[in-house]
Amino acid sequence: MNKKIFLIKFLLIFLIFLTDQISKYYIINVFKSQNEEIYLTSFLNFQLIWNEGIAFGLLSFENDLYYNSITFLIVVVILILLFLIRNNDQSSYFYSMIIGGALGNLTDRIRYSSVPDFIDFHIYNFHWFVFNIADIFITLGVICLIVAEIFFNKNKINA
Amino acid sequence: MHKINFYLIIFSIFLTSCQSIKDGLSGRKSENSDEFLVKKKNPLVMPPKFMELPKPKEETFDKEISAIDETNNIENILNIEKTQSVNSEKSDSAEDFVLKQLKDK
Repeated sequence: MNKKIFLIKFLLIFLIFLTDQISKYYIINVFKSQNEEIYLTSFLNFQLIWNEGIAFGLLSFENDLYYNSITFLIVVVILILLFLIRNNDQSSYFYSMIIGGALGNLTDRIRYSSVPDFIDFHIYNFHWFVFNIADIFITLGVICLIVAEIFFNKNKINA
Repeated sequence: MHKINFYLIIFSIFLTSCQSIKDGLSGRKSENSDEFLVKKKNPLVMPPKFMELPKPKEETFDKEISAIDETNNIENILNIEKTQSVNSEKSDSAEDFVLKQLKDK
């Protein structure tokens, strides 16, 4: 793999990881002194919530065995992604985005035994799931991957 | 490659960690099944020697009551007899004293 491309991917992962960790550290410190939600705009609030499960609050067990099994599965997925970014195609950049976010969430899973979520997006009384910076990049990476996959294949078939 | 991407997209649900605000604030565990782990209570049973309990002794009971009556007797508590006698003695001596004074004059 070209060194320059490797550096770009590494920087992408590191920047996403750093942004996520700094945001979480800041929010946790803010919510140490207060417990009420922070009002930003009419559709966006900050509210610290600890998630012990995965996406949409699923699989949040009290049992340590289940928790550790899910963490192990996450580690395996990250390792597969790390293996895949060695390729020099456009998908590898999207993998890097997913890895950056996943590493951020994995760090919190190990450090706090749960992941802090704080971005509360809502329209009037309809609240979307509370998420964090890492989730944004993982979701973006997956969406880009889906879009690239669809369009890339179409071009290939047309050619 | 496509298969890997397909599986990765599915498994990315494990990597994200969003949660609904209602569950997060209430602290509810969506996959909690502890109710099945609760130990069942045993049915109510009479104690083994329930009918063999000793009967209370009547004599000692009466003695105790009489003792309590004595201690609670108002006359005993206030020492009315004694105080009356003391008062009468005192009044006698006072009369004598006054009479003596009058006689002397």
